[in-house]
Formats: sequence, structure tokens, C-alpha cells
Amino acid sequence: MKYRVDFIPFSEVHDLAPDEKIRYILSKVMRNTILVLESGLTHSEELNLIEKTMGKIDYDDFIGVKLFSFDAGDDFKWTKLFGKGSKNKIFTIVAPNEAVSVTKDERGILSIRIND
Amino acid sequence: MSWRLWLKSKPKSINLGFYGEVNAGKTTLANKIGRDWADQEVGIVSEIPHETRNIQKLEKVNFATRGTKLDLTLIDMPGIASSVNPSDFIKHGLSASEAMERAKEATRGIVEAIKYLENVDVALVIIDATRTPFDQVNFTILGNLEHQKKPFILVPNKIDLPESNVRIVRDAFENYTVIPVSALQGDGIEALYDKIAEMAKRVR
Repeated sequence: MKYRVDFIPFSEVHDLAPDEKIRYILSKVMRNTILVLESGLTHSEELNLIEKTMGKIDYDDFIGVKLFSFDAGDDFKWTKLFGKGSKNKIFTIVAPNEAVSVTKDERGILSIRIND
Repeated sequence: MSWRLWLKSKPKSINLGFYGEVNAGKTTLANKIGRDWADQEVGIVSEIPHETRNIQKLEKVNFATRGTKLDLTLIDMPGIASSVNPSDFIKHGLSASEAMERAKEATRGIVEAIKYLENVDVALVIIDATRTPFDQVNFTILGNLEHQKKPFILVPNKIDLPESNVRIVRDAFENYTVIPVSALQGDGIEALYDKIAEMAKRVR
């Protein structure tokens, strides 16, 4: 399976209602896309995403998601990813469950392997 | 006795929720507390993931520690996960149809556990202290409890195992109240009881 990585800027989702945002994320993830969201999810959005994900699982093509929220810290160079004017310190990665595995998460460094 | 005095002496009723990821030891801990204070267990413990697929309750648990009396309802929640894979159950020896049935029940259980969050007065968030890196689900649960202003205790479990590392848990969750335990052996359980009594005082 080949996966695509999409970097989603703040402007793409900030006008969406909470449920629309979750639908947007799931529709992309279910099409084998790994999302890096500049507009990181709040914890209540994460819980909403988990709940909605349960409703989409078919136990065959889609068995759920993996998500990681990551505090970038003050020195992170957001502009390299999303251009000037980037606002958020926390970003979220949402991926099809089978697409990624965490190899290391220590001292603020998150290492993810993208599976074949 | 006047009704005011009666109300004051009546143990406070607390819904104590057991939250956490799959196979962290939620039911083992709920059973330990149930046995200690009510001579009863809450549910069945299993190595197979998602053994608890429905919310299980043990009511009328008369808890008393350091002058605090509580009427606890222990509420053991299905483990919360962001994916459910039937092949995980097949690896544990279930047939394909049993695995599929378990997966469907687990999926429903996760939704049930999430929806029940608002009914909990105090939460224990149980983490497997032997399993790193920590799943985002743990942070999601803690963040939501914080947002809803629910008192909670982070409980790294399985500290009797040599591969457990409480220091890593404390580093990863440095802003939270952490009480490490072995639900199986009872290590740390008295400290947990003291903290439950303290947290219950915050419930109106």
C-alpha cells in the first residue's frame, strides 16, 4: 500500500464546524492519506475523532486511525512547513492505523516509520 | 438525628470511573478495589485485548480511609483505542467469526466509554507502566478530564514487573497527580486510596 502525506494548513480547516473538521479528516485518512494538520486538534476534538472513527470501521479496508499531537516548542520553524504567518504551536498527525508505527517517542522527539 | 446531621454523616456517593487504553489493567485494579471494600469483583480479566467490551459496575462499595467515608460505584470502562483490528484477536487464538464479533463489540464499547465520561465523578486513568511510547489515547483521555474539570488520578500499573519504568511515566505526564501501583500485587494501593479520598472531597 502506498500512502500520501498531506500538510494541511490552518486556512484549510479553520472555517469548518467541529463535526465538519472531523469528517474532512476521516474522508482523507480513509483514502490512504497521512495528514499533518497545522491546526492541531484539541483533546475534545481528538475524542470526537476517535468516536467518529469507530462508526467508520469496516474491519476490512479500514480498521481505524493513529493520531499524534505534538508540541512543536518555541524554536520550531513552522514557516518551513506551512509558510509565513503560521500560528499554532501544537500540530496533529492523523494516519490510517496500518500506515505508520512509532519507533521512538523520547525527550520530545517523535520518530514515525511509514509502512509499505 | 436531624436531617442535617443525617446528611452530614451519610457517605458521599461517588462514581469512580476506570479509564485507559486497552490491557492497561483497569479491570484488575477495579477488582482489587472491589475485593478490598466489598468482597466482590467487577469483571473478568484476560490477556486477550478488549475483554471488557461493556461498561461494568459494582455498586454500594463502602469505602473508608483516614476519616473519609464514601459510597463508591466502581465503573470499569472498555479500553479506549483509535483502532480495532480483528486480526489482533485471531493472534490470541480466536476463530475468524469470534474475532469479528469481538471487534464489533469492542468498537461499540469504545463509543460507550467515551459517552459515559460526563457521568463520572472521579476518574482513575490507568497506564501500563511497561509500555512505551505512550499512546496518544492516554493524553486524549487526560486532556478531556481536565477540560471537563473532573478530578482524576493517573495510575501507572504493573510496577511489579521489572520492565516497568515509573520515571518515564512521571516525565511524560509531569503536570498530573501520579500514583503508581501494582493492581495484581497490591503495591501502592494504600496511597491510591488516600488520593481517591482526597479527590472525592473536590466533588460537589
